[in-house]
Amino acid sequence: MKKTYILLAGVLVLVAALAAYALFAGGDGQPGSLPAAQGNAETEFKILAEFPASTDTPYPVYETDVPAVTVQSVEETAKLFGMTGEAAVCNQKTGEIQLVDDSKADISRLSMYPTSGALLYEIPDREYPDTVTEQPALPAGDEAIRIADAFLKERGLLPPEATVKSVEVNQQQEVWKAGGSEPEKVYNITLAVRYGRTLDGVPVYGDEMAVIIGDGGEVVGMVRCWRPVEAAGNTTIVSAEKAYENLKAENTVLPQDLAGYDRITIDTISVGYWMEPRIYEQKTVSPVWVFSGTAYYDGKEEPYRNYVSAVPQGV
Amino acid sequence: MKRNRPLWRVTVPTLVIIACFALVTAVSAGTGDDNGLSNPEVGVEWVTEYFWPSQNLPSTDDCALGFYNTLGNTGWTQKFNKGTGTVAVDQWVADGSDSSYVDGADIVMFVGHGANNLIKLATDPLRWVYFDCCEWGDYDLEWTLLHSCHTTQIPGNFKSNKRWALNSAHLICGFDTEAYDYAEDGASCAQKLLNGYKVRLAWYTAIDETHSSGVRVGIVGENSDCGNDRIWGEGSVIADPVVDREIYRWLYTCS
Repeated sequence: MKKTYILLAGVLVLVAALAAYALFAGGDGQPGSLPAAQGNAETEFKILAEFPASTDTPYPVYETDVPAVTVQSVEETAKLFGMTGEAAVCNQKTGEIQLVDDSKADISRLSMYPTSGALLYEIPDREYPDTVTEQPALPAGDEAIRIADAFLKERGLLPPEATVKSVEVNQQQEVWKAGGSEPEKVYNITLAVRYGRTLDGVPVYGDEMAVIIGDGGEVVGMVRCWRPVEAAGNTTIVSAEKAYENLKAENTVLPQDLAGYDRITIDTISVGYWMEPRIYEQKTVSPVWVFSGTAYYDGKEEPYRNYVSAVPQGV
Repeated sequence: MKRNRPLWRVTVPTLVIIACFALVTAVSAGTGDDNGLSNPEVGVEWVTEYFWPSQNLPSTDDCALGFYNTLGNTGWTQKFNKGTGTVAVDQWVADGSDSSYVDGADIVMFVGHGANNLIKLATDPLRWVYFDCCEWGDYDLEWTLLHSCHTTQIPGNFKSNKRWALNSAHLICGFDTEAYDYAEDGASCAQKLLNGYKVRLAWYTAIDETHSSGVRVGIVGENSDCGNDRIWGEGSVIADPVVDREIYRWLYTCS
């Protein structure tokens, strides 16, 4: 009788081991008995905010009106920055057109993207120094805004609808010790004065408009991906509850994140507009549901925000 | 009668040999450096399929292959391209065959899930590459690009415990925060490297083209001089750095 129990226990252990193996059999991408992961369905989501009430109020839809970007237009724009030289396509895939001015002590670069009209100006050696051994002199917040506003206005690059969104450290350099969990030295290298806008009172996400300020309050870089838009009708929006289901299934505007969060809590749900990254063409600007909160992983946490199309049949 | 040789006759040659050895070690710590300038080598690894509880990443192959082919099309030797099902921990770790894979190329890119002390070649924890099992750079590797979340969040993890992943490699480029599965990042980064951008700037600006504000890029180097590197054939590359207990990190916030 005792032998039977031992045999039975052995069989149970074997079955358990086989089940555990089946669980991970797909580890190399070879199909196991469990379905492949789809979306972020296994991340635990928790809503801390109330869903906004459903509404039939129509939201405007916009069409972009991006000016043509050519070699000539890049060379013209370069003059705004006191730059000279010949522009050329430097990336066939993104269509990026670049002018490099090496006539001065510090090389400067200006890039523009035909897909979005985005503009990127930088003085690389000053914006991205290799080594810093003492804290650069960076301006206080108000002074940084004054410098950034003046830089943009002088060049006619500050859209009237732009408002300052934040002033924050854009780059840091740190010295760490082996095995350390905190840096021993931290230097703030540059500040970014970032701008945002609203469309019909609704915030726009994804726009890029920032002036980068370095040592001594010098402007060392600028980025502007700010597609002009025109009204192009209205749309109703899906409920926040439906959008939340899409969020959990990772039917989101952003691609999959590579984090594998354990848990995400949502504390703010709102409507906004989403602008695609500068390398993509975007014809229509439609409302999105914006879910903001905190993501948790490995005992740590970080801010979380993702976007779900608010347009019926949208993704 | 037995004569004792003068002490200096023994010690001076010994010291000279030791000094020569130290000099060679300091200038070129990578024992397998096979002239990166005339024969630069690139390798990529990527994982598209994960299983519960990790999610699939459908664009990692395009990202990695974009990097691989953009460099390969300009004459870089394509040393290895391993994807879902053919990636293996053995190819990354010091006790494995890293000198034939990750530490046998000059620049390597991984695209997949990660964390601040590892990268995931699959969902199975047995197929995770822990940084403290790696020694990159003692054979050949100069630059590692880890297109994975949080991989450079804690630089101290590249020099901890028994093995140091930052072991004469120049730079490890990754993310301090989350990252997203954009297909275009690999080709864009490679093109910027070929356009003469420093490795650091190529990584910053390629990621910034797709990732929006809130995402922070992190790059870890043996020392600050490593931040000046361009890839082979496109500008200066520092001699393999001497490994010490210090680590340098650059952080950059996307627009």
